[in-house]
Amino acid sequence: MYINDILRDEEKLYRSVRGEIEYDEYSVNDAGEYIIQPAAFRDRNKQPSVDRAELRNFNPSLSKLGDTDGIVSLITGEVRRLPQNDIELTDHTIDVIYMPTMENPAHSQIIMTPNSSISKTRERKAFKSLQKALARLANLKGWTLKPNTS
Amino acid sequence: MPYARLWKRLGPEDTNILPMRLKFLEFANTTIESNVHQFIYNVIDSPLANTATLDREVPTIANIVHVDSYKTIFETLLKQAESEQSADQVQWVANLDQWQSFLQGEPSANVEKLASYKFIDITTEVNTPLDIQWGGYITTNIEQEDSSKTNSYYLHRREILDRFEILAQRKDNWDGYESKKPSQSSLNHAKFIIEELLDSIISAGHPWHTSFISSDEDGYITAAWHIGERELHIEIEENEAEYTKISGTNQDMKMEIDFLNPDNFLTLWEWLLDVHK
Repeated sequence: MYINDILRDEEKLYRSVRGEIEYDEYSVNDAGEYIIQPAAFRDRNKQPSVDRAELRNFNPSLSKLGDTDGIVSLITGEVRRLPQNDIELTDHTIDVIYMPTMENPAHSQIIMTPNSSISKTRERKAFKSLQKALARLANLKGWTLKPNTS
Repeated sequence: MPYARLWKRLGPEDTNILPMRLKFLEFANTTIESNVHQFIYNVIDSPLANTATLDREVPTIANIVHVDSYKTIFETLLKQAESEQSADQVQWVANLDQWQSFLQGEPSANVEKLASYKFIDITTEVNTPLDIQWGGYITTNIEQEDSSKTNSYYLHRREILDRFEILAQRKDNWDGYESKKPSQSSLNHAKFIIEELLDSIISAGHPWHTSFISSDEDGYITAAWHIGERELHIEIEENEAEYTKISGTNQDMKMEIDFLNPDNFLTLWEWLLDVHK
């Protein structure tokens, strides 16, 4: 693994959202709209994976992890500038780091680093706030590819 | 479950009923055909708030006891029973006979008995024209503006309860991210809060919007609303609840987090709906 490339603020990112609705990564509201939920950015290690769009030739289909999955887009600089006035995110640095793998040369991760030592509880709460904020960014942009639920 | 049957059981002898709303908890044997049913009547809104009666007794001044007594017993039972249940048993289980014998000793034997019962939670209220008709002797201090609103209210409530039934079936790692299953106490607390929220909203004459209810990686219950440019998220743990208000665009997103309590239900809802006073 090598980390030798810094993402530019204007770079577009793709995130795969599971199409099976029982995972709660999106919901369907009364108007039939598909709402991206914070669970779409869940991650065991609190470092959600994204793909650099330009390394996928701006073809979002290549970032799908499953046939029925949808794709949402984020902009690197917007992720980095997420609200620092939020009580849980204060004193954290949020960044997007290029972490290519053999299977996925576009692979990157959203990393949230506390600026000082914090408790596990605060760490958990901060990550939940991050998930909500990322879902907000994704909803503001709308789906790049909607889940295939047919 | 047949609500009507419950109400019809209230007969002419039940003339001493106080103005109130009732919430039912039915504890039934899994073999429902055996007709072993017992009930708690939990009084919500009346001078007797937070009181209850046991075993088919309609609350009156003479027979009430404080509901906290039963809450404590119930929580103790759940904790003991959960520690012994197998992984695939997710629903709980109680019967007032077991509660009472539990109190009299032999807790381990009763935990085993409890495992053979299914806990069925039925909540409804008597302040609808339908229920009054069925009950015949129930009166209420809740004003109903019109029947269509009442129907809508019950549809929303049913929708919420259905969702909770789905969450109660979840197991650890239900999402493949090692998320915990919701604990029964988180589910109970969340159900209580969301029902209270619904009551507050409807009582204040505001429209209810369907929430997206789920559980998070810690097994806490979440509910979220997206109305226009505003989002309201609530996260409910076993003993406390928080809300997050989100607004603004990607350039000036605002997130505000605080503890959730009944005093701010309406304020939050009016913010979500962008209601200007």
